[in-house]
Amino acid sequence: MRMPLLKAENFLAAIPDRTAGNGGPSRLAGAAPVPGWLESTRMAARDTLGARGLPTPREEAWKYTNVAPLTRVRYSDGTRDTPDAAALERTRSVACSGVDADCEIVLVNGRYAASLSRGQRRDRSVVLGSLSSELPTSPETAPALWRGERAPRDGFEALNLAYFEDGARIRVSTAAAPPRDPLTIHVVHIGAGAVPVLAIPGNVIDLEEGAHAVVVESYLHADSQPHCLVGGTFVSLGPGSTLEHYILCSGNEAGSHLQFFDADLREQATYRCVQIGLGHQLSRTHLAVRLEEPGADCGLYGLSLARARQHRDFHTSVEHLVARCRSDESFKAIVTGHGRSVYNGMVRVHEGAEKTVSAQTSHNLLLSPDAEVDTKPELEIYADDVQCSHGATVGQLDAEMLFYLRSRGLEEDAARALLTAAFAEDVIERVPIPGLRATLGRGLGALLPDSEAALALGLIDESGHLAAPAPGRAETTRAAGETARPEEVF
Amino acid sequence: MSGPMLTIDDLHVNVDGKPILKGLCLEVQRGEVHAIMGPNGAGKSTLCHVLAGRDGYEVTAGKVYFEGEDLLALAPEERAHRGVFLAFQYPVEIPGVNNTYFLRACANAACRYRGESELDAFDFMQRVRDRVKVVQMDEALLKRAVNEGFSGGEKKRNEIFQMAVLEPRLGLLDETDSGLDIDALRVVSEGVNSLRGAERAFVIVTHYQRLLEHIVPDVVHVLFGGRILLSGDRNLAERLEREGYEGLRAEGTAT
Repeated sequence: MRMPLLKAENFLAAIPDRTAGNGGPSRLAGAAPVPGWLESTRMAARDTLGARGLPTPREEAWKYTNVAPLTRVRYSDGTRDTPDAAALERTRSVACSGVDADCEIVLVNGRYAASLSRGQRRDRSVVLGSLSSELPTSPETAPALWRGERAPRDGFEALNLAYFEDGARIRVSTAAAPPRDPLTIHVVHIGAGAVPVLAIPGNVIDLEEGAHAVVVESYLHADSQPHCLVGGTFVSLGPGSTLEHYILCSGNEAGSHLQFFDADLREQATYRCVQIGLGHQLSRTHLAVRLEEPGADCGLYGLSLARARQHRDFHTSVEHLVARCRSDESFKAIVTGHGRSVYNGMVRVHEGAEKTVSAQTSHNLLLSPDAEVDTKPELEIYADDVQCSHGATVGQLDAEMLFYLRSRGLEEDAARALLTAAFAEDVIERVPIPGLRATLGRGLGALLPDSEAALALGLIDESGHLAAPAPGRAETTRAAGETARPEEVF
Repeated sequence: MSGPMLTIDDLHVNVDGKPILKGLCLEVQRGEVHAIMGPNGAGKSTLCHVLAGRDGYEVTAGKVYFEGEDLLALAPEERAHRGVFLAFQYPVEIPGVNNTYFLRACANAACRYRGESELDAFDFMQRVRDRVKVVQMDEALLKRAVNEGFSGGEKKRNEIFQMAVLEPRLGLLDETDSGLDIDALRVVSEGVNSLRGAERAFVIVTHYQRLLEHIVPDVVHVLFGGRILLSGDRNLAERLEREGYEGLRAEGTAT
């Protein structure tokens, strides 16, 4: 029997002059032309989307994540009404607080907003700004998906390829910053509008040989509309380059976020990615890493927090294509209420990828009887002489630990809060950016049964910031040179 | 305050439906150190856990009063706030929770309970520095997660260190000597001795007389079959060492 398609009609209605069947060439923001090689894959992607529709739980990769409710929303493309400037500025300010980036690239509804961005540079060493004005000029330098080298994995990838018209463009060479002082670039994606908006950004990040950069991507909303973002980010790391990539999804309680990340690593390239999912009604990311040349090294980390009926889904895939590459993955989820968290991680060690070192874990904490976790770490090995491990745990707060803490005088809620924060501690430790930690702290605070208890405990401060019990955390001292220096002990 | 600090009256406790304590009576005065000795399965650890408020222990009869208050009606943290401290036989490892941060949170919780203002970070650190010396604990352990990766001896020192920082009124030591070598035993004992005072009492549970050579008890009790079989002065511990529990059993039953 032929299964009904989950049609993307409402998604496509948001982009009326670019729908399939219209036939005309696609356009980019600012009416920038689309090169012929890209136009042909975009046309093919329209056909793919029409034939496949959007993913349903019948597709293995979408088994636990049902997007049907999203297709019942009528979206706008966000161009018909201008979002409130004050709200946008406020949202930008929230996102950028404590991030301290060298430059900020702000996109509103998937389009570059020059007036909100700052520190844009365009010289030989670094290009930052709008994708539409800095599209890769030849297929050789474009993402594999764009040049048709790989097919879209699902309807959302096809939708993004067919209809993206702008995004963030980052290209960094060694000359941009000495290795000791990497350039920090903050890409802020704001969804905004009086009606639900569909944003379809495509982001391209290229680090040339030996370059080192920090890229923070924040995804959030300026209002409470059920905005949807269908995004793609393409990371290309040249030989010996290093990218530290932090992705924070903290959208409103109605919004949804569907995004894929492709990262291709050349010889000795290092990729560190930390994803934090704490906002949005529904978020699903697929992070696909290809270790293409020897010595490439990736570390993928994530923390998802789900409460009420929030749904989080982290998919990852790591392809060990050649010998002597490393991958390390650790994903954690804390779920309460009727929240749900999904993790599916595939590590594939291809033929010839000897001396591969790979580790993968998924640890999950359930704080309520109705919370649900679906976790599936997967490992396929087609090479000899490799060191690979994977594992997953799902559990509740440990009764022994709770009693130990309470027997020392911590109130029950405070003890729960402390253990919950401690569970997330090693992921928090991987985020050196104060602004992101603060947002994470507020997210954790929202999960706790009694934020008063956490507040009293000093776990979170008055503004809801997590005062993580991190080693090395500085405490105030009275004066230098006095005998007890608290910061030495924390 | 008049009357004993701790009064245990005819305490009966079941674990998994099985009676473990069967009518235990005990009185502890302020300033006293009581040792409770007994064979495996006599109910020593059960007594400690019931006093600290652990789940899974069913009190079927009897009462426990601490400073005149019904101790069994209180949550574990409320008992801690009133000054009850249990040094665990098997201290729990808590990854991700910094040892010092944890202690400060506990100390502040007790301050809030007593209606006092919270300890200033500086004063608290002075106290920590001071007390860590008492148990000769490596200061590096203060920066680590609670008990995580600590050796057996380090965990026991950490228990006594926590007790020294939190300054309880009643210290319950559950086989604190187990797993300690001779030197560590002496250091831990000295730590306990330094905390002895007119307003503080200890109940020390142990298998062996050895600990009591260092911490000299005022009263020694023999716990056998869920009841106090015999009580006496420190010489009782020495007799136990010579004659064994079985040797004293007949005498206890006769009295």
